[in-house]
Amino acid sequence: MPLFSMAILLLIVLGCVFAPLLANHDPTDFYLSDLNRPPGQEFRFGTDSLGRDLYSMMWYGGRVSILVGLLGASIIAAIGIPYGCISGVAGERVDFILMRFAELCGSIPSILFVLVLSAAFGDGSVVSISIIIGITGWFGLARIVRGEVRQIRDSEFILYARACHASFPYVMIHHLVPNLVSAIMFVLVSSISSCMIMESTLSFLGLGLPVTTISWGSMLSLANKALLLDTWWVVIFPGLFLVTTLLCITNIAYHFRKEGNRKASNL
Amino acid sequence: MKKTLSILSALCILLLSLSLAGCGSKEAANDQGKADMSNTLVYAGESESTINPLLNNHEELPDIIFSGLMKYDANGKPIPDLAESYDYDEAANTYTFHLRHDVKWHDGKDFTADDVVYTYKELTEDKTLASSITSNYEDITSVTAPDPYTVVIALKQYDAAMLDYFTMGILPKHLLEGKDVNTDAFNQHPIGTGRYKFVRWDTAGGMITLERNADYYDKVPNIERIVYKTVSNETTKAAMLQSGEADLAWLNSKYAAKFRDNKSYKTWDFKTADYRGAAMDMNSDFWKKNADSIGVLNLALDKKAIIDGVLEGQGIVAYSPIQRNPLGTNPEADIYSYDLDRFAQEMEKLGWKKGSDGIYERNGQKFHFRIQTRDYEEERVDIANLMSSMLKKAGVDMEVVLVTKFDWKAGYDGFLAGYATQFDPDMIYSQFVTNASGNTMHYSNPEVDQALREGRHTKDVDARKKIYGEFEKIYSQHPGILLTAYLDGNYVGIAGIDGLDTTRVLGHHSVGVMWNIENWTIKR
Repeated sequence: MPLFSMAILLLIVLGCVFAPLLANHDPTDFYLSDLNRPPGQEFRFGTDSLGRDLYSMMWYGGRVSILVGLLGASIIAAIGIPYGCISGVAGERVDFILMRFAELCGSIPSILFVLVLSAAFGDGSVVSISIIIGITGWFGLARIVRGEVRQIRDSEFILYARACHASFPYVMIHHLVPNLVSAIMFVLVSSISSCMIMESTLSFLGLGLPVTTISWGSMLSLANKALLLDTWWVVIFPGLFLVTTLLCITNIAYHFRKEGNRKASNL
Repeated sequence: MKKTLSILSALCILLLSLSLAGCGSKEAANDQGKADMSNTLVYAGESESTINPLLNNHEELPDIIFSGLMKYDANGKPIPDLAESYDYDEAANTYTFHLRHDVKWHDGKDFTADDVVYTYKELTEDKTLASSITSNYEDITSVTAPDPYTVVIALKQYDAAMLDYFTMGILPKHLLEGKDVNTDAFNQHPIGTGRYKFVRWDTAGGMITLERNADYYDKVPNIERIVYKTVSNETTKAAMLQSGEADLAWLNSKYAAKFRDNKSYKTWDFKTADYRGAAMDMNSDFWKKNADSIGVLNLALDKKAIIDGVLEGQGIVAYSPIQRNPLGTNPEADIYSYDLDRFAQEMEKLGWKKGSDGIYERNGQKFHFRIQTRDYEEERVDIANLMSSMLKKAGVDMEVVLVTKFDWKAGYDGFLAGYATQFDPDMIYSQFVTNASGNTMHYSNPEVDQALREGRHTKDVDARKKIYGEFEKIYSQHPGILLTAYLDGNYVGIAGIDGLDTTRVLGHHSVGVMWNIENWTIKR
């Protein structure tokens, strides 16, 4: 078990959940008499060029970043799993069409996809950005789900359920998904981190969340400016938090993969 | 087999097109490499889409590619340019311009009085012209050319700012007559009579190349070539300067401060008449009902803190739209100072009451309005965010919406504006007079209209100063713009550049820096 990663992740998540308790300043306020302060006692991580307290922003920003990660991953699961199940269960022709469609979409670089969608529909809200990230990220998951379903779709318990006229959603929820979980856990967990990365990328490019919505990504979008102004702490702290969180999530995801592999080889 | 063949052929086509594209860009690169860059100035400036003095009146390039009957001297006073001299017949309100005989268009054709007549006719008679300055030429009744080198312009009445407005660049009749000036391809390939000739516009690379006009009728510039790179993003401009991609740029004061101690760079601090503030769209539903409550918001703004925070102290607190004009600066118009107690009292007088969320309400409506700000103009975004934060604390919800391009139809209640009256105070006429050509925010106030009309048509300077002082007082009572600050114009360039002259008060976006570009030199 990656206990270390889990502990760190838990600390960060708890810190974000209890942001109001940890923050010692208003994260949206501008402390105009303390511009570009290096990390110190009052401003633990320093302030940016408009006197915003990075320490307080970090905890509040984490809420948004993690939320986007979770929301995005849920949307990926909500689309990818049913899609894969349908494709896996369906006849050859439908399966072919569904899979080629997913592969076609998956072959387009997702950043391009996301840029176009956020330019067209993005209103800069957390929900819309999560949806945009989610609907462009489910192709890989669908393929894995479909592969797993193919392996078990002719098992007796599924044949029995279908013979009893169980509806497709029933079969999917009660028979397919429970048998898939271990196989797709790795993809699901790492999609949380890929959604967070996508949000940061977009916000950094100025296409995601506006600077007024604090997230680690939108904080990083100040990095350009900070590099010119030699205020390293504006870049380092959000970057450090983001990278640490992502590393922890990835580490946990790898653990699931190992578990999954071990089970398979026991068969 | 068929399938693989078709895929292969598609691949071949793709590869071929890629290699062709590669060749194209390589040739272009070689082309530039060959040109001697030692006497070239690379300037990082604002984005451009058209270069036309009628359509773009506060940008740098129209001023150096075109020239007008008059031009501004170092002190911002109009002196003859394309005209050798002029006479003014006071009784008949008529200007007679005697044009230079030695002026040629950049394409080699002779410049004559017909071009002047064409330009002014276009400006005064073409109803479809999408220009914000047509109101400045309302007083012109006729433009005629008795001979090829004389132009007679008759006015309805005396107009104090007319000579200023005669500085507008003249367009070539032989290229534009009968065409739509708003959209003609000429706007992307301008031919003028000015100090620099347009050579090439690389829209993909965001680069406009100019060459000095060797046949210029006055002093030919020292710098051979100008490469104008179109970048709007302030961070990019600063980064380009740092990496040597640009030689000169206007930077916001925060970035300029970074270059001040560096020996390889020089900083020029110009005074500008450029203000920043939230300009309200008086036609929006919110302000139609609540226009009486714009002025009071000034009381809740700590403008000094904004200047220190965003502008590194490089600016002054704004209270009037013509404050940096010699005929402006009436201290009696400075009626608001940062005072939250007074703010609360005044709001109560106006009938606003704080709701449970701490935001004022009146007649069931929250004090909430939205202003748009372009996301790449960092200094404006910062100013807007600080204003919003200060107003929020006082109980007013000013929502800042970041846009990549101003959208005038999306129903925003205003935008973060900037404007300058660096020359005659009449420059604000087109912006504030009811239905005037530059009045995008639909401001309308009969008293203001009256004052600005009187100011335009009065000759005596002292009398005008009084009139504009009166205007400032009236306007401060019923403002349409929540004025915040006047900026200083910080230009940063490599140490080898010489000749920039900070005598001139610059305009909006610190435009006008190239007013004496013929005297500049560059050493690498």
